[in-house]
Amino acid sequence: MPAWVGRRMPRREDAELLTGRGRFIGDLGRSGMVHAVFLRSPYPHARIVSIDASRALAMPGVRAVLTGADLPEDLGAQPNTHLFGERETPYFALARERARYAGEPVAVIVADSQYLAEDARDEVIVDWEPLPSVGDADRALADDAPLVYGDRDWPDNVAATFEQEMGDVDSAFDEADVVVTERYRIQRQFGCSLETRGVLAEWDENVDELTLWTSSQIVHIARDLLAAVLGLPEHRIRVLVPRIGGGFGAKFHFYPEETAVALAARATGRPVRWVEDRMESFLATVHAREQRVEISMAAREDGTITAVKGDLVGDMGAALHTVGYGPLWLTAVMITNVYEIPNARVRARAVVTNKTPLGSFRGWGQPQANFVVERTVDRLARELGMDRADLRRRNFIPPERLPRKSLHHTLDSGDYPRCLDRALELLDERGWRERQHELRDEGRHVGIGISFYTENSALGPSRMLNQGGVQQGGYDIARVRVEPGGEVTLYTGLCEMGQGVTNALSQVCADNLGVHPEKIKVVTGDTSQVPYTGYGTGASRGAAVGGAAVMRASRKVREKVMRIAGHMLEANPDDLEAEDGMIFVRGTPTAAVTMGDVGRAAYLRAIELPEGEDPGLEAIEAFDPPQFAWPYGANIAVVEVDVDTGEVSFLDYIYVHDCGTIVNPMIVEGQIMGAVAQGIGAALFESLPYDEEGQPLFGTFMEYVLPTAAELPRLVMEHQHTPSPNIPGGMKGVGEAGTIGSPAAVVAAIEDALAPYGVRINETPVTPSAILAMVGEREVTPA
Amino acid sequence: MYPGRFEYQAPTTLEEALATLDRYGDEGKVLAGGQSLLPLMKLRFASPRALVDINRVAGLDRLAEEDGELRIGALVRHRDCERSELLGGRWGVLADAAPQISDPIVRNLGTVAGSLAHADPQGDWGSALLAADARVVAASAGGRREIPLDELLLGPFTTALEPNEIITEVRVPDPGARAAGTYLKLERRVGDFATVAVAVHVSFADGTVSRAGIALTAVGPRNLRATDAEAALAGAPLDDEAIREAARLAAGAAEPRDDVRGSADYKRNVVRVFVERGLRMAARPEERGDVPRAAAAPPGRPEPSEEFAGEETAEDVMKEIREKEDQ
Ligand SMILES: Cc1cc2nc3c(=O)[nH]c(=O)nc-3n(C[C@H](O)[C@H](O)[C@H](O)COP(=O)(O)OP(=O)(O)OC[C@H]3O[C@@H](n4cnc5c(N)ncnc54)[C@H](O)[C@@H]3O)c2cc1C
Repeated sequence: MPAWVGRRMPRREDAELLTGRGRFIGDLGRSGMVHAVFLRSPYPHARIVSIDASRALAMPGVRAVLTGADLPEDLGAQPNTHLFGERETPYFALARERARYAGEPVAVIVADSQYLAEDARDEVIVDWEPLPSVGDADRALADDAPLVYGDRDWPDNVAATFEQEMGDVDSAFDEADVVVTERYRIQRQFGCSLETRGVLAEWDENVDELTLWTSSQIVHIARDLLAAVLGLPEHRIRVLVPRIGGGFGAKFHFYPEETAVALAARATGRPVRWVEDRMESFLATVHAREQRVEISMAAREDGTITAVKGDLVGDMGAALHTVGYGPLWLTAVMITNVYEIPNARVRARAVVTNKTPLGSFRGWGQPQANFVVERTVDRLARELGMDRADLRRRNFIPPERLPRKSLHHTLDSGDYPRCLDRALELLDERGWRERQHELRDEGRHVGIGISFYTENSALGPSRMLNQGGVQQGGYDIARVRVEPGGEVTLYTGLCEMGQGVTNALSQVCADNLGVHPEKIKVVTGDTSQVPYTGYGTGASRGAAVGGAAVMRASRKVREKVMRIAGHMLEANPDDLEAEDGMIFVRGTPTAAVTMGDVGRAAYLRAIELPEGEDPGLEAIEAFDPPQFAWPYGANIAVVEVDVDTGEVSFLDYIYVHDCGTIVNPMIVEGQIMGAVAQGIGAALFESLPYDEEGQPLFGTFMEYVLPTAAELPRLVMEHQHTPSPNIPGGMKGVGEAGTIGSPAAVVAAIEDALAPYGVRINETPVTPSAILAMVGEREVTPA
Repeated sequence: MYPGRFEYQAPTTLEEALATLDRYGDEGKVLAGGQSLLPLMKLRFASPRALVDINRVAGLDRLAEEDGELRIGALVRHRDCERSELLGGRWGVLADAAPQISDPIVRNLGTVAGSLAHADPQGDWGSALLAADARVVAASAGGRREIPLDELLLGPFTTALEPNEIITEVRVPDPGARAAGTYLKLERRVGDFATVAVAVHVSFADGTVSRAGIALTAVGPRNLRATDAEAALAGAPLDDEAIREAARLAAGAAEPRDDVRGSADYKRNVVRVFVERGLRMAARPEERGDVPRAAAAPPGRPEPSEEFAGEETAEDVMKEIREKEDQ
């Protein structure tokens, strides 16, 4: 009987974090530590003619200036682990010969203080030869476009073209009663964290070993990639991840600065720390999302969608970073969403431009796929004169036909209609459809937007990943140890970045081992201690894949606990129960031993062990999911638009979803709220615009508008529970879910509010200025 | 984002501060709240040789009404204005502007005088105080002078102050017994600099407008005064037609530019909308509620659902857990 899984529990780290006692990279110090800053390219594309660091090096307190020319000859390029068949876009810790985007690191300056390092940076003189550059994927595809990799003899700017098809798309379009075609533009956004990135490296010359603290979601991957780049054996590198102030996928990458700071530590013989400053974070941390998509849907008059085809262009920026064009690929293969569309075809082109490389951000390519599909379904509904919800219901894969293969993946389980219906029921309980009419009659512009998503979570089956080209596994490994005193230490390769995974894992462990969660310490972020994790902390896999691994390891330990306790109590282990650290004979709670008694026997008093039982009380177990798990949900946004100023405000927001077994509802709700905030950021606020040549038109929070609590709705949330058939424990992931369906719902709501003006919104973010351009100026509404 | 090297002086009297500033010539900078100067230094856009910190100078933090005039000392913070009883009513334009500046952290430190000296065309005080016809008292080692705001603000980050002058006080004239106004600000999100903002400050006598002040934020090289609109309103009743005409004239006075916040046309339209809304509020001050922040939610919206877990505090949950444990 689960006692802890499913419980609302505050996170164990809250007190530490809220009282400012969390230790992040910026809080770490080592004796003799010095500080690094990076000099970055001011040009989108330029050749480095020469770099003169002599004046900087002559300044007191300056320890070193490294440039591309100082990198070891045999230093590897920064690796990409997601190889889907693409041209190589090598880039290094520091730019060699040329920089391909504004913000690319060109030199690292090391000095005794951050102040001195920045002073010295101003004295490093780079002779640049600016080259033709391109800041937009459409322009990059033009025949006469400047070539980002002309020096590598690329004939054009296309790094990869991915195509996939199922069914007979052309016939379906020929036979369709209705066809709609739309073009969408989705802007650049990024996983902007409260804590920027940071690295601290210490090289022990005596044994030639490197210790690297880094603000990363991929503790083992970072170690292995660093080892590959530096040509060191993996076990000579220890990577540690202290507290992380938000990752959001941006820290799922292996960055040039990690290599450069390690080299700077070797060059200076000192521990070297770099903390990304807020301004450079806008250019130096991977961007995400930017795509333009053309999509066509074919349907019968009764609303059955018979085919979909999509043509996607991803603006990858200047290089394929750690995850290659993975997010663009995921957009492409999610083009059927939750619908039973038998015929589908996609083409996705990964285009390089002179901009910051594109990478991971909560949701990967799924928010884009959801946006284009859900908005087009709305359009189809309008075309057919059908209700938007009815059209979705008609095309949902019905529960009895799950699991079902879509373009690439197999959707596992659930009841989509029930989820959407409950969301609509809430909408009506809260009176919105009626009130919308009343308010419209009063001249107000109130709109309702609906979307439905599914999420690719619990990544993922290792073999499937490898087959697809991913050079990583998708499993997770957990180690559970009962200490001599009966307390438990749980080791996981997953990183705690504010998402609360250590809490979820300890709740799972508590149930399966029979202890109180407070007795479980969770160790994360240290390659010398924690077991290997296949993929890192991302892809909504922590609770599902990590949880299943913890479950297995906990059960294995419990079996041994029961054998030892059975011996002590002279009872059959099968008759025992463990709860809250007590092991007792079922029905006779007085006949009991404690976890401490068992722990002491296991380590200190072999005399109490059953004959033939090995000492020690720990287990290490892996879990590799046989399939992904697919949570899903409905977003309904209710907004009001001020047509005089174009401002949008939320009147309500309904979120009904199913993520299988919920380990801790507080954490799940927090995850969804945060992710919806980022989805609303995409819909209304956040953008990283560049000019035609690739000069950034942003640089601070003055341009990059993150919504705050004041702009966000209060979510009305309900959970449904369809346990995943593929994951022991039934968990599905949830971390990214909120980002996926929210942009479509919000934009649909705005469009609905502006129905009297007949506007179509195919581009985000939808700013007040853009809204006013659509509705036009009018007489001011008297208050 | 660390500043370059600089000297730091912290005088405790005005005389000392003025003498110190005088000594550095144009290499010294007054440090008040630091909310504009320090970011510039961290970005290395500004690298003064010395900072003359006036925060310890006694007597500069007075916010008071004297002979009908409002006096705002150099160390009066945005937060002081936000909380002061003095600023409501006749000086509604100032009362409404104060809480719309940035966030509480900035408001706790930033000063009114510092905002004027900084002369950011996106600054809120510049317009609110222009509409209220304010002037500043500028002191230097050589003496003191009064500068009307219109003459102080010259262009983006440019004022008529000499490098050795300190604004010791801002003076806002008596608007008369019947006056009303407001400050309407369009921000992309709370705490943002203005996309557009409009200050409206109207004095009435005998049922007509005796003086109208209308100033515009973020739509020109400095805080702009909509003089044609002001002139058109003076001497006439503030009726619908007058309001619409003034709004049209004010929109014509704006010199907006396209930027990330919106197109020039968009901003010009918001000027028109806000001047109209602002004047309507000034015409019927008794009807006004709170400052209308961005698109207020409709009244009587349904209460948030009870299922919402965010209502629970960590203590509630821990208590619940302990109770369960005790059972
Ligand atoms: C995140 C953020 C958001 C902000 N948002 C807004 C906003 O929405 N609206 C807005 O209006 N402002 C905003 N500001 C600016 C803020 O209001 C500043 O407080 C103000 O512009 C400057 O006041 P200060 O006292 O901080 O001046 P300081 O930063 O100390 O100085 C600014 C300049 O004025 C000079 N100076 C200061 N005091 C005097 C004096 N008495 N005599 C002569 N010269 C002087 C200094 O030498 C310096 O050149 C924001 C600031 C920040 C950091």
